[in-house]
Amino acid sequence: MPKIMVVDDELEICAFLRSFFEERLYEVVTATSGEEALRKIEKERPQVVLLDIKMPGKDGIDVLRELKQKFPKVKVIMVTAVETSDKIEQAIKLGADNYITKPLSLEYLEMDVKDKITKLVD
Amino acid sequence: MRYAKKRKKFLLKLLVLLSLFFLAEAGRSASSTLAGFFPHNKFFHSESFHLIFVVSLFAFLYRPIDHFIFSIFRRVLSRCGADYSRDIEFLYEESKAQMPLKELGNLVVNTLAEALGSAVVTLLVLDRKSNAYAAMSSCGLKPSDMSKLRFTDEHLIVRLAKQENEPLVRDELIMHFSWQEANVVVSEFQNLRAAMIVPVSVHGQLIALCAMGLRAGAKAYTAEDKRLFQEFSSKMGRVLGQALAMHELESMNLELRDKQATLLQSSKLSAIEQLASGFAHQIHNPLTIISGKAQVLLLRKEKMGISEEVARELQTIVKETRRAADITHKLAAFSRPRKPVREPLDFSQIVEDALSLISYQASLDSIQVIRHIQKDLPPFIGTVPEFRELFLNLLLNAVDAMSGGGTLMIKIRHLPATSEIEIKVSDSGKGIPAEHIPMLFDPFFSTRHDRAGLGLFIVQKIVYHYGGTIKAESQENQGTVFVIRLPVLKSSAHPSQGSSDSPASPQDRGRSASKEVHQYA
Repeated sequence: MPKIMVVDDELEICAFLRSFFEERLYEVVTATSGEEALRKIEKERPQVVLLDIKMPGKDGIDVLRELKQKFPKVKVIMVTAVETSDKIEQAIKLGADNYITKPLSLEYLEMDVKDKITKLVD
Repeated sequence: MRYAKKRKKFLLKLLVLLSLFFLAEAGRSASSTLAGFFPHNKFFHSESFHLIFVVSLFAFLYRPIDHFIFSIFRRVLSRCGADYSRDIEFLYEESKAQMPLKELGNLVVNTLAEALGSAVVTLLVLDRKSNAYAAMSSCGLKPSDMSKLRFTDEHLIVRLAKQENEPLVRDELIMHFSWQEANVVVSEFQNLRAAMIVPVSVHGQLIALCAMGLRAGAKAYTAEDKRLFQEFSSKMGRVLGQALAMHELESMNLELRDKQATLLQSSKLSAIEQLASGFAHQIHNPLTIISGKAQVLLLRKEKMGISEEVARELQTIVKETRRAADITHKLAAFSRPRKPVREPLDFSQIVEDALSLISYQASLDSIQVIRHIQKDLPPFIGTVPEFRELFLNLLLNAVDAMSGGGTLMIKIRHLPATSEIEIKVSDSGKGIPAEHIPMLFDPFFSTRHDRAGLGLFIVQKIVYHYGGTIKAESQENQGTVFVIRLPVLKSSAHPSQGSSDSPASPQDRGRSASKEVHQYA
């Protein structure tokens, strides 16, 4: 079963993403802060991480930097509300595999996650 | 004035002729006396000897006599000396009426050039910022040469002018200097094509230099001229000093106004920007949750036994949250300062963006919007945020003017004859009173208390930035039309497409792909 991790400081967002992806037969791990995410990745080893950019404490960009250093193979999709173009450019430079804006279109998000996982298998 | 000068010249020549007549008489008696010494020589008694004697006397003495009479004439008949003293007096009287610095400068150089019959007269005025004397008005020098003429304390003539504070005559100066310094003096005078430089001071500060070429007939400047110009300089100092102070005050005022406007604009923008981005963040998370939960419910439709009717409502929830998010997205994108990317502009897209933005603020319900945007406009290179701002301001103005409804027309077309793009934004509103039209583009000009009065000022700045023109025509109770003309540069025909600074999100990309293809095709 493919495994994904959802990182967002909003509990409700984690919750509906979990129920959506579990419905689609994914194994879902959630984290509500950057620190928690980095801790859990070590143990859980998800294939794809959905990472919110704006979070208190370690934000999405910090997490992305560390994550790509330690686990370069993990695919990361950045989730943004309204970020400045520099933030998005910075994320892409740091190795983010894609980005998606809130509110999320779940259909599109699943397509993208699937796409990343097939690339991993290849 | 010219007539008086001619009369003087005529008088002068008459005097010279008269003295020559006496000279001829004296010459004749002299030659008779001379002939008395040679009583037997026929030649000395012949008429031709007298003639030759008188003519050669004429030839030898004409110039000294002319010169002598001229100087007597100057000293005795004309109170101040040289024949241009009256012109200078006239100039002084004229300039007492307060006039702008530039105008005064032109008056000075033109009057002096005419009075002296000199080919070149240049006025250099102190620029306090750079502490240099720059050519401001000139009679005889080309504007392109004038712009190069700046003298500072490094130049010998400036140092001399400050030291001596009396007219500097080139030919006198070079005699007092070593050949090296004399060379410097000559070359500095040569740059101004001058033979004399008159320093103009006020309260002990040198504020201007008046450089004059040789007089008509290449006459050198004498001590008498120096005295006259010294007087002129002290009189002009007061007038010129006043005009210079006024000029400096005015330009400082303008500069201040400009700075204030930019400051206000940037502070206004950053406030909107902060608000918008904070607002968007605050609102996007709840929207994401609402939309996400509805999408999950839709997904479990069968499992949960959700009816078709409820499913439709859920779809509406998803759609409407997207719409709400679009508004905050646009607001944020609009207010965010971007790296200016110059790209071929899609005017209809920019107009639509601006229209959709004002629709959030103002009611467009009672306003009919007509767009005439030429399809095959030549590529025009500009930055999207600037033109969005331009249209937003023009459209907001138009909508403001039509509180009771009306017609808003946006016309964009290419004028092939002048190779310009013409943008016309017109409304059928209450119009602008004629007395307000000249102030329309001034910063902080507004007839409404809730407007800063910067909109049209910014529009004008953008138009000028692109080398264009803007004008407003208005008739009360008929409406107003703003006409902007922007030159299409030849280089825009083959634009090199810069990288977009704000990559569209994948969702957006999907949705607007066809538009983008159209835009950049």
